[in-house]
Amino acid sequence: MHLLRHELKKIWNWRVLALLAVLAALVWSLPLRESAAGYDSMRTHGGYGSYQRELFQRYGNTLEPEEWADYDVPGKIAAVQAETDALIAKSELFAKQGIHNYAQYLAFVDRDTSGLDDAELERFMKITQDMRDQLSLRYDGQTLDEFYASPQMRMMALKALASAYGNPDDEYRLQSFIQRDERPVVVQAAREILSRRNSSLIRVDLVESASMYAATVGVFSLVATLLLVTLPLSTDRTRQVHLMQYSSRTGRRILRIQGAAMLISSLIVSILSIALGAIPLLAEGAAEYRHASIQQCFSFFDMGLYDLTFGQYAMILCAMIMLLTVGTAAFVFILTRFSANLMTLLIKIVPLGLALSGIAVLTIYQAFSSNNLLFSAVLRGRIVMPEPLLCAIIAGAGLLGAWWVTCREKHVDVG
Amino acid sequence: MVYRYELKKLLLSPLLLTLTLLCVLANLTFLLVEHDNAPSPRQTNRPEDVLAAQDASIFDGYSAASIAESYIRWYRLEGTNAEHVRAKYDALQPVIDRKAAADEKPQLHFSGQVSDVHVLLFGKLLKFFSQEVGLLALLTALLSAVYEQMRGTESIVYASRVGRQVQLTKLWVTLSASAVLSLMVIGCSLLIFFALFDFAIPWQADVSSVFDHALGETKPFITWNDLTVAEYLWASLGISMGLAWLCALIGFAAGTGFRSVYAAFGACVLLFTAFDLVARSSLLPVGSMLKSAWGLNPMWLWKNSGTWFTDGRAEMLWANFERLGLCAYSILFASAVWGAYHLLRRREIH
Repeated sequence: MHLLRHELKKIWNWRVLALLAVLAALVWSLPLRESAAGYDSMRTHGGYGSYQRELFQRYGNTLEPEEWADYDVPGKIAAVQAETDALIAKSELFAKQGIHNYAQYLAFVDRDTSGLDDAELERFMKITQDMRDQLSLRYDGQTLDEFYASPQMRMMALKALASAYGNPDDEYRLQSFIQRDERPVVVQAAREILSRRNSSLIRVDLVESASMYAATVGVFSLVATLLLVTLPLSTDRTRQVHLMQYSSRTGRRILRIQGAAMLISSLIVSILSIALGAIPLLAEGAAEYRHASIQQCFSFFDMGLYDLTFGQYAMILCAMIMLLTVGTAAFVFILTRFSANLMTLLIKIVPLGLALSGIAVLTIYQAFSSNNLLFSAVLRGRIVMPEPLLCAIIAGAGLLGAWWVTCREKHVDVG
Repeated sequence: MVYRYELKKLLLSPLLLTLTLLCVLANLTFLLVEHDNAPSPRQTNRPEDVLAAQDASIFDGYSAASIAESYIRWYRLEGTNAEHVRAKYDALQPVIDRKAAADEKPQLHFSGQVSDVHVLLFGKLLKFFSQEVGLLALLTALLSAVYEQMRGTESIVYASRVGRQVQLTKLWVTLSASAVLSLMVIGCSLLIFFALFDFAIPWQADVSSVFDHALGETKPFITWNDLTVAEYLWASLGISMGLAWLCALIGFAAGTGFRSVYAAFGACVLLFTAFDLVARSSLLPVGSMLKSAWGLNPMWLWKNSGTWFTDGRAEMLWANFERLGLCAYSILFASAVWGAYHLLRRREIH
């Protein structure tokens, strides 16, 4: 235990931690922050404005056809349109272009501009921009709440909602999957969704955005593990400290203890990465989807395949990150044992890191969706849940290899 | 003599040779998967896929301003940033007019399958192998720069004034070894590509007009200079090689400047991560000088290998950005190597 504590102390070197902190700050401030901000659509802002939250509050996690009819989106669209018509009727800008209502405005902005010369095109762009500004009640210092409460934004949110959930009883998309798709698991999922006769009330891109976020956290966790656990064991072997350690019976156990320290550290890194990554997501309201099922036919090209709640889905993504991170540490341990110095080890772990990062993206991004590359392009939709399976195989292979190395070390000639 | 021995050390390193082989194997796997997924010739016998070229004067009356306006709308650009984008495409208009008027090279128009092969070669394979040779060069440079420290021979080699100059020889060796390994990867990958795919295109046709659209977009494929397909391929290979040397300079500067191998490696990881993440983020607005200047870094150049020698979309405000970026960063990191070398000559070795 004493040795393990000291090995852990060697791994958690403050210089490497400082490097990881800078990397984490870069990863957080650039791709992750933008991705996390997307979850505010459950509140006031975003693609569906505040409407989807209202749907959640009124109807729960699933949306039955009669509930959708009760919500009366066409009626709401008509009300916003009447409001917009009144706004347009009062405006000189619209009157100058001969526009007196919303329908005429739509026809004006969608007109064919291919015949216009540069000056005319520029003038047209400016006029349409001014019109959009008027419909979104734009003024200097406008708050985001005011912007999303404007008729223009409410109309956009309602149309996005109608396009996402507009026909909960529409069987056409699912039937087309059942009849034409060659992937057995996808066909089975389509049958299940069809038999349930309702829509899971989750955001259309939830699986994609959550899995992209998890893949970024996963790659960071792998890279952080590589940077953290590589140094101590490699330094020992470069300085040939192990020759001195191996002269005693207890010393022969050192490799096993070092391996355990590397695996424990990788587990801590993955838990910390997941925890730190989850805080902003939870703050943005992602937890509100936790009881909603991800099994949903999103479009003609995308489907959530298994009847799991978003909470369970998030837990499986976390487990996949942990498995891959532990697997990474185990492979680094094996490569370190067979590298004479740090530089040769680095040349080996760079391709290892790239390969495992590629596998992390391949398995975690769009996991459990019909579009996941491993599920669809590689395995042609024949195997159920291949994504966590591959992560488990990698972790298992790594741990088995590490165990073999430690067993072999007891009897190996170190001279 | 020292040069020859150092070169032998690097080129016969089992690790570097294995890594080179791995790069070729990765490209082979990728190309086999692409070949497997490509539609069979029977399936591509649609009119739009027929290889027979049609004369098409796609540049007659074509307005670069329309490209600018579509980007301005897409990115919702305003003010100075929008003006920057307009100014770049105004500068491109004379190039388009010249291409429309020129008749020394055949202006041929292909689409369908030929265009797909174009995307595969210049959009995907070029990106893969230019990144691979960059990584190979970086690791070669790190290995070469820290070799004496790694073997524990530093205190013998650096004991004399002449010994400390070995590092300069190692730099030339690194650049030579990077070139040889890069040529191996690029040569093998291209051989596999041409063996698997029928790239039946007149090599002397103008690359700007051969393909109907820029990679992944609807606008034409417009190069600033008049290049034939063959010239375009050679020029792209030249940029790939240049980027490999640039990576070698980065690795060598880090390996020579930092006392610790690990610190050198960490610095490289941090540098490339920052290059990539900042270029991808919305931190720097499209159309700004800063975004364009940051985009000259090797990570962005790799990511956008399909736009080399063209307008470079709205993110890039300058013509010939790939050569500009390559020169600017090469000068920067050559200076870093020079500084690190002079530090080494005065350094206390323990």
